[in-house]
Formats: sequence, C-alpha cells, structure tokens
Amino acid sequence: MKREHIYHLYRRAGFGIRPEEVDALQHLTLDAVVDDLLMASENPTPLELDLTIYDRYFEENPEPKYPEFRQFVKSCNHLLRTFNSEWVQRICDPTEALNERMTLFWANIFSCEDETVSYIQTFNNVLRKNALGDFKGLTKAVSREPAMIRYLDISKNSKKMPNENFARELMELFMLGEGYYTEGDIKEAARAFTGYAYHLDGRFKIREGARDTADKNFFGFKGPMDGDTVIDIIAQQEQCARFICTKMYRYFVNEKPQEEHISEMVSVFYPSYMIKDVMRFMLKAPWFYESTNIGTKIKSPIDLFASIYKMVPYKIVEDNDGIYIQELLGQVLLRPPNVAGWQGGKNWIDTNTMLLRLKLPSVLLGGGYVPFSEGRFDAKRKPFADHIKVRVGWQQFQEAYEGADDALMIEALFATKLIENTRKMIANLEAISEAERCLQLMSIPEFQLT
Amino acid sequence: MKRRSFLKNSALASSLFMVPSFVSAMDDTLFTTLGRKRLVLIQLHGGNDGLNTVIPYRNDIYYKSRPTLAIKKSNVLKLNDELGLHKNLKPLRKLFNAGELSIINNVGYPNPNRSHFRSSDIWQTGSASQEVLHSGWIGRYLDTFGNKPYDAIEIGKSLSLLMKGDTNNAVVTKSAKDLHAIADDPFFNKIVTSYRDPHLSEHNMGYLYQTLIDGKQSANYIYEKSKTKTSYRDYGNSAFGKQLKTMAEFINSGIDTKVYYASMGGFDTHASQSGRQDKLLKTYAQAVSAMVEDLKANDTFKDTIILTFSEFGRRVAENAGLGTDHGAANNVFVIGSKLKKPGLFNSAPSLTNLDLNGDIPYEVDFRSIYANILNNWLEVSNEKILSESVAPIHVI
Repeated sequence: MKREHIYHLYRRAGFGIRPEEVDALQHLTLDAVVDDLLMASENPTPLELDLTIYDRYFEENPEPKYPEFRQFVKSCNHLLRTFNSEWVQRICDPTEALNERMTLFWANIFSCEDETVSYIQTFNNVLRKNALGDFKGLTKAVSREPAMIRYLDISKNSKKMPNENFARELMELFMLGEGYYTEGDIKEAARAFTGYAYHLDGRFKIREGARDTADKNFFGFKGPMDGDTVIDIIAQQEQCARFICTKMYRYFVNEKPQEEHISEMVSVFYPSYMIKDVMRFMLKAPWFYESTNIGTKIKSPIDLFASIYKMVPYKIVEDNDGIYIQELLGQVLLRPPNVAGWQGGKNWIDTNTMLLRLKLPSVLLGGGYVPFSEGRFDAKRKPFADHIKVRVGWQQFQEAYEGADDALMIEALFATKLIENTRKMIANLEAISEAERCLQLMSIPEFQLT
Repeated sequence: MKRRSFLKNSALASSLFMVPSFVSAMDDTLFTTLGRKRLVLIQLHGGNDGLNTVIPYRNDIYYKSRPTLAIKKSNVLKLNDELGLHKNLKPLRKLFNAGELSIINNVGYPNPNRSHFRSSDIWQTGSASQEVLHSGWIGRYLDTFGNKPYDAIEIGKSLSLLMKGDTNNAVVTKSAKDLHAIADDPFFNKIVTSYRDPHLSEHNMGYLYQTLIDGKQSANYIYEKSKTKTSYRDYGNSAFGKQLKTMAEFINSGIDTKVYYASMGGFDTHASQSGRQDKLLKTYAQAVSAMVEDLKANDTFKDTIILTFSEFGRRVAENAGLGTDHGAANNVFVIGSKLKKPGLFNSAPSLTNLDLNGDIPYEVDFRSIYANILNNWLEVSNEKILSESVAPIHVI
C-alpha cells in the first residue's frame, strides 16, 4: 500500500500514524492493512475513571432522594472534567484506533450531555462498545441510557403527558433525517417510548404506570409496540441506512456527498446494519483514496490536538486548562452545542479560532511564537494560555526525527500538498533544530487540513 | 544561524510593524465606507428575573407569590403608578426620564423552552421554538450584507452563535491588545506575504488562508485605530465593565463596525436570589451608564442603540430556596436617543393570566424587535435575515 494512502487511512479512520508504523505496513496490500485496522478494534477497551466515590455513595444511601443525589453529583463534578481529559488522552493515544474514531463519530450523532459523570461514562462506553457493531442495537442501547433519557426528556414521557422530544430527534437526527416522517409518526413513536426511566445508580427501569400499552399506528404497522420495535420499524426503511451512510461519508470521505458512492455503501449496510461491514467497504473503496478526498477536510479541534500529539506527545497538566483550550477552539468534549452536535467543516473556523489554531503548536510545545530568525525569542509571555502547564515529550520526537530531512516531517505532518510559495518560504527559513522546524511546519494553514 | 544572532535580529524585527502591501491597500478602500449607525447587543446570561428588575409594585399577586423575594414598594424607583425599577438601576431611571430608554415588557416566543442553552440559541439565532438554526441572526446579517471581517465584534473569549454566519463571522476578542498579540506573530506575516493563490478561495485551503488574512487585517486595524482612544471613566471593576469599556473605546475611536456584542453571566438565581441579583444589576447599570456617558462625550451616542436581553425571565412564584426557577417572557431594554416610544413601551405583565407552569406568557415576539432593528436601524430587509417573518414593532 502507498505510504500516502496509509497516512490517509489512519488520519481519517484513526487519529494518525507515526512514520515507523508506516514503514511496517507499506509492504502489505490495501486489503491487509484495512483488515488489520479492523482486527485491532475487535475488543474495545472501556474508558473508566475511578468512580468508587459513587459506589460508596450508594452503599451509604441505598435509596437516596433525588435532590440529595443531585447535591452529591454537584459535589464531585470535577470528575466530569477528568473524564474529558481522559477521553482526549485516549483519542491522542488510542488503544483501538478505529474504534476510538467511531466512538467520537457516534458521540456527534447521539449528541448528549449530562452533569452526572457515572451516566456519562456509561453512555460513552455504550458508544465505544457498539461503535463497530449493529446500528440498531446501538440505537436501542442509547435509548436506555440515563444520560440520554435525561437529555431528551424520555423520563418525562408518559401516557398521560407525552413528551415528543426523543421521538422527534430519533427520527430527525439519529435515524432518518427531516422529511421522512410526519408529525403523526412522532406522536405514535413517543407513545412507544413511554415508561422509560432509570434508577439513580444508573440502571434502566420501566415505570409500568407511565406506559402506554395500547396499539400504535406507526409506518403502516399496528400493535402495542415498545421503543425497540419502533427502532426496528424505522430501520426497515432503506432511508435509515442512507441517512447514516451519508453521515459516514461526509465525516470520513468528503463533506460533499457523492450519491453514487453512498448508494454503494447503502447496499452493504442495508438491511444488516453491521457498522463494521460498511466501514470495511468504505475504507477499501478506490474512491476513498482519490486525491479530492485526501487532505481536503478541516480538522476538528480534537483532531488538531491529536495530530500535534502524534508528532510530539504532550500532556496538559490540569484538566481545567485542557478544557480552556477546547473552549477557545469551540469544541469541548462532552459539551456539544446542542442535540444536532458540532457542524464541523468551515464552522470550526473564524478569524479568532484560525489565529489560535495556527499558534497552538508553539503555545503548547514552545515559547508561544513560531521560532525563526525574525521570531520573538524575547517575548516574555505567550500571547494566550501563558498560565498553562504542559509536559512535552520532545524525546520521543527526537527518536523519530533526529537528523531527518524536511521530507520525512512533511510527509508525516501534512495530508495535503503545501502551497508552493509557502513551501519555498519555509525552505528558506533557518531552524536550529528539527524541533524548531517542526514548529514552523505545524504553524502553516496546511496543517489544519486532514 | 546561531541562537545569539537570532536574538539580535528578533529584537529588531519585533519593533517593526509589518503589514503586507496588499493588505494595507485593502484597508485604504475600506476606511472610506464609514457607515454610521451601530447596534450594541447585551445578553444577561442565566435568565434575569425581570419581575424584580421592573417591579409591579402595586400588584398583590406579585407580593403574594413572593413572600420573601418581593421588593418593597419603598425600595422601588417608580416609573409610573404601576411599575418601578430595582433600586440599583438608578442610572437607567435617568435614561428613562430623559427619553433614552424603552422598556418592552412580556417579550418572548410561542412554546417557550426553559433550557438555558436551547433558549439562548433561540434568542441568538432568531429561530422558532422547535427550529434549530446553525447561524446567528447577526451572522446571517454578515452573510448577506457584510463586506469587512470586522463588521461585527464580540467582546469575549470565543465567538457566540449569535455572531456566526454560514459564510461570514464576527471578530471576537477581549481586547485589541490581546487580539494584536495573537495576530502579531512575525511568522504570520511571512505566510501572508508569500500567499498569492486567490483562485483557491472556494476550497477549504483557500478559506483557511483567507481567514488568516482577514484575522490579521482585523487585528491590525482594530489595534491601530483603537489605541488612539482610552476611556478613563469608571465602569466598575467587573469583567462586564471592562468589556463595555473596551467596546466604548472601539466605538469612539471610529472603528467601522456595525454590531457589537457582550454578555454578562450569573443571572441563574435558583437560590438566595436577592443579594446576588442586587449586585448583578448594580454591575450592569454602572457599566452601561458609563458607556452611555462615554458615547455622549464623544458624540457617538446619537448613532448607537443598546439592546439588553436575557434568554428567559423567571417564574412568578419564588421557590423554596429563596430563589426563582426558569420562566418564560421577560422585559427587554432598548437604550438610544432616537426611540419611537421611549418609556414603557407596553403594559406591565398580567399576573392573573399565567401559563401552565406559572410563567408570564409572551405578548411581543422577540423577533419583531429584531425585524424593527434590521429595517429601521441597520437599514436592510428583515425578511432576508429572519426565517419566519414576524411583523416588526416600532421601537426605533
């Protein structure tokens, strides 16, 4: 497989790859490399904080009252920030690269937020566990998660007072897309999800008294259906597979959907809904490696963090500081802007985030200014985030790049060809060390693309 | 090159202000298009308690619903024989008496959402309750009518949805100095000067380069222009006061910007409301009145209107924690010298006619205020910006 294509595959379907790993793969065929990538994600490792504080709480309060439990949740909400930083760390240095990428992908489909860290952790791990599994199973599991039950008011949905919030988003944002259902369909689907509730310790339960057990009329079916049945019926429509394949295509391949390619994906995905199969197909498709699909996507802030990390490992010491940077760049994990998730693409970029993104490598890893002969070695403060403590693994960088020429670094850093004038400008800059050259390279706009 | 000579050169380089020639050429043409009217938007984040801001001091239901939180008649700054302002809003009563403040009561929208995030998005995007829009109403104004990257400026940390369009965005910064410090990396000058590929502009790569150029240009322009104007008025020590001071400096330095936005947090007073809201309103009033005085002293007040809103009001009845919960309709303040109907724009909320949650129902759709501002102040057609057309009311 071509080195350029290995890089592309790992940047889009994982979170990047180091040159020595590429060396090891380049003698293999495309089929073998993709199969390898999938194989490595067979047994996803859950992301788990030490939450004994929650276990202890429930031991001491076997039947806590709701307001007291919320008080307790508030008292340990720093753990949510820890979970954020552990997730970012996992993304930067994934145990199962493809599965971790898929987890992030699903987290932006099943957009959800809650302040209860135990619910968020379970929710996140449900995505992780099912990330390459069966889409219907994933959706059903999500509908039973306390975090989602709370986020979209499923527990407020009862026979007496139906709440359509979840039913609406299920069809609009999770399974079909606008225009493929009616208001009547939403009402009937909402009835099927009545009674969904949870124990405060996070276990799912059905509140029998709130359930609407009468017949529902939904998409031509009639019966006393529950939520799982509604999900199965929706999935019988090919549009559901097309909706998800389009999301995949726009995320992994190109923001501009190509109907021809998406139809090929749909024929693999429908009706089995096996995520692994459609991913394997997509990653092996010749069009995945067409030049129009390489290096043309704007990195999300999280992708930017991961791509810097792949070059030079680093760790932001305080959880709060990591979140501060995420806020500045417009993507705080676990805090989506709304139920539709992040829009991505050009939406990441405004004049402020553009400048911050270009400066990020030198702020995190260096003195805050891009090092070159006319640069600011005399600057006393970084232009932003001066207070943040970062541990930088320059040694790992040195091991890979010491004595290397520009070409190796350029290959590892950029998914796109450099603009000719920019390339010349860089070539004419002097750098004392490989590290400085690396910071120069990471500070040009081309590094923002993947 | 050795480190020592790097240092020598850098000291020289940092003292030079480098602007690529084509950027400064662009600036020259833009300086000449001085549009006059400016809009300032202020959001009170968290849901300000409108009933304890503009107080129905003769309403029994108000006093019965709020046995501990209701504000005593003797503490109210009376506006008429029905409504009065919170005692910490003295500077606003001065504006009220001078005919420079309109108070619009009962502003909201049908099917109110009581989540901060969602309701804030609704106010910022100008959407209907069930409709999710991904651009702010000011962002769409920039998309359709903007021509400079600094047509709108947010004073803050990161860009709010309000200020994001589909193609154009506002500039966001805490201060001209901060923005300048970030944009002023000599390395960026190198990139910008060497970039000559305008045909790339439709692609993401072109967009990135263009945004960098816009960012640098805005930062230089705002920094150079605003450093001529420093205000010494007392805005208080709050972060919000600093934001408004920066904003007034920008306006008075003649920066050619149409829309400014800043926000102030802390209004989510579920518990122990009274002391907290007192303090917040004091901070707000001090900052806003200092800004108005600053603008008047520089003869820019006549071309400025200041709109203050919050994502929702609060429940009429107080809760068990000496606070109030999320409500629905609320009052909106419009400050300016060219108001159509200064004073109380409409009647006080009717507390006998609450919705199922015990909240004040809306009477004025917030989008009808936006429509009015777009038509009569920013002088563009509101129908191009607001998806659901709501007939404008006549505030300005």
